[in-house]
Amino acid sequence: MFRGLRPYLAIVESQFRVIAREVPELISIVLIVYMFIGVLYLGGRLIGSGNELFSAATGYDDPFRYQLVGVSIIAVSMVVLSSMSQFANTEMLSGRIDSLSLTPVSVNIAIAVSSIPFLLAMLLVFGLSISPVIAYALSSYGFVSVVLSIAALVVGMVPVFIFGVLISMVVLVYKAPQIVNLVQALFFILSGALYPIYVLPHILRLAAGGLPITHVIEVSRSLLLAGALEDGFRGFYTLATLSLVYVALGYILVRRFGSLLRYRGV
Amino acid sequence: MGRKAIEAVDLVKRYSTYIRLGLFRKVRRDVTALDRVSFSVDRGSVFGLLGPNGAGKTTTVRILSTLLLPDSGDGYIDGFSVTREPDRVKRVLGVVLSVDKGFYGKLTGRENLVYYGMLYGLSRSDSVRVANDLLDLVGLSESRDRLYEEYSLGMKARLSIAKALIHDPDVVILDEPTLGLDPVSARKIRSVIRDLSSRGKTVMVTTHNMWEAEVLCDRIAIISSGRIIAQGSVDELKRMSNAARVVEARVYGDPSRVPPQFVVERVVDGIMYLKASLTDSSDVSVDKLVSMLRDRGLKVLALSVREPSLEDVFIDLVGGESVV
Repeated sequence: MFRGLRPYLAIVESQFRVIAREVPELISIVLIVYMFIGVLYLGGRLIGSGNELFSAATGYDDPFRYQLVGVSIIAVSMVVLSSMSQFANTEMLSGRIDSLSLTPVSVNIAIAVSSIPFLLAMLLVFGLSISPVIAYALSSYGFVSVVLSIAALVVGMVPVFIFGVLISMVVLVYKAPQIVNLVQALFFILSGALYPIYVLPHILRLAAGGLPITHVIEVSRSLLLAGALEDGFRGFYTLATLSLVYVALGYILVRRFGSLLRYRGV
Repeated sequence: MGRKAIEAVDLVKRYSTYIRLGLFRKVRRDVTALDRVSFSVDRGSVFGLLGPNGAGKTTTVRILSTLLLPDSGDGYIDGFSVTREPDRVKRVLGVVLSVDKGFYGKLTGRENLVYYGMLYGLSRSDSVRVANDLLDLVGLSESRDRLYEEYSLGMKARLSIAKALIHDPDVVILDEPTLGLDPVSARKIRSVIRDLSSRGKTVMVTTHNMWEAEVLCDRIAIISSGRIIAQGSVDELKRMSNAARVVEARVYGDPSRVPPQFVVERVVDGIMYLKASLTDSSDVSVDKLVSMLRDRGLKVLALSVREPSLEDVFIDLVGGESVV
């Protein structure tokens, strides 16, 4: 079994090596995430400057924590999406996707695995950025809330990985790397990272409900900002079910794209 | 062991392209990239697939490498079907698709090879050992710890071959392995190919370098417009074609008396340099040409007959065709 994992460990290791030799780029990624969170937080503060109005609109009384949870989670998912599609695109342009396809390795798994070093780096950033909220939740609502919210993040990342693989396939088959920007924009608009999704038009609310990242943010807010364990568990089950549906759909689509890729070539 | 190392059986591949007519209009055009391409390669031999640009060489290679599915037909590597058993094919086949692509610029040559070794399931220690051996084989031992992005094109080409051999395949396919290389680097690549052949590997090379094909390959197939138009050994191809032998003569005498079979190339100090072409279907022989010159009072100072080269054969068979 371990022998079967060797190729994927090699991919992770090579990605780590490449990242380690591109320190300025790594620092810039970290800085961009911080700037991203900072700018959006400031924007959010300006919009929700009246705490009473904010509380009435969202059900939460602290705009800082509210937006920090949303933006940190959405930042992690965006980095996963962009690192996977970027991997596919650079592998295609550099000819490495051909070389990868010539080996017995599954290209889909390789793409998913390739984002692990970036994901770990981003989880570090996520942990640092959300630490005030974690500290608040631990002191106010206890250990279970924090553990369950982390579990929700992990389960919610599964569909994000599937999105990443599918986007990468689109990048490879149709040579359209810009698709990731569209999906990221949809994630950002529909996830409710900055505002409650009920402010969206009905049709967009439906779409937002079908997006796992929306539920990750909702569950995390319920658990970390309000300590609502019952809501948290309910949201977690919904999220887990949705993730399973995405896994099944993703499997079918990835197989479909896989054969299309072999028929059309990279 | 009776199986052929490589077999292409009636490979057909069609592409759709769009011709733009103005800003918004476009017309779909179906292009037949391969039209019932068939050939086979014996074990341990070097086989050349020759053709002009756009003839279908790379499409053939991509199908045989499992990267592309044909519309019909099949390919076999070591008896395994490229369409139905791609994973088994990948275990016995090494491929160089592009000599300067497929590596991480920020990894060293050795790290890149170790990475590919592990992709084929080798342990780290085995991968390092094989990588070191292969770096020796392709003459890159001294540069093994330099970053790939610092390699010259020739070094990249040699590393590509090492990469194709990392899992010790029986069959190696090289797509234009010397394209864009300087003569010294190209010679090193040819030497590696000969070395592979002497180790019992089956090698298939695509190229449009005729001289290279002539000196490297045991058998050659010529592909043009997606069809194999001739295949055989170099000698067989020469016999097949109507390419001319060239008779060159240095002659002294009156230029107005030169027979019409000859072309006067130049005259230096009263000595004429003449050239004539002889095909198998010609009704004149070399002896007859010499007699003609002597009969007209011309003194033959020197005479040579050059056999048609593979390039002559290729041009005779393919004509002036080239897509690009």
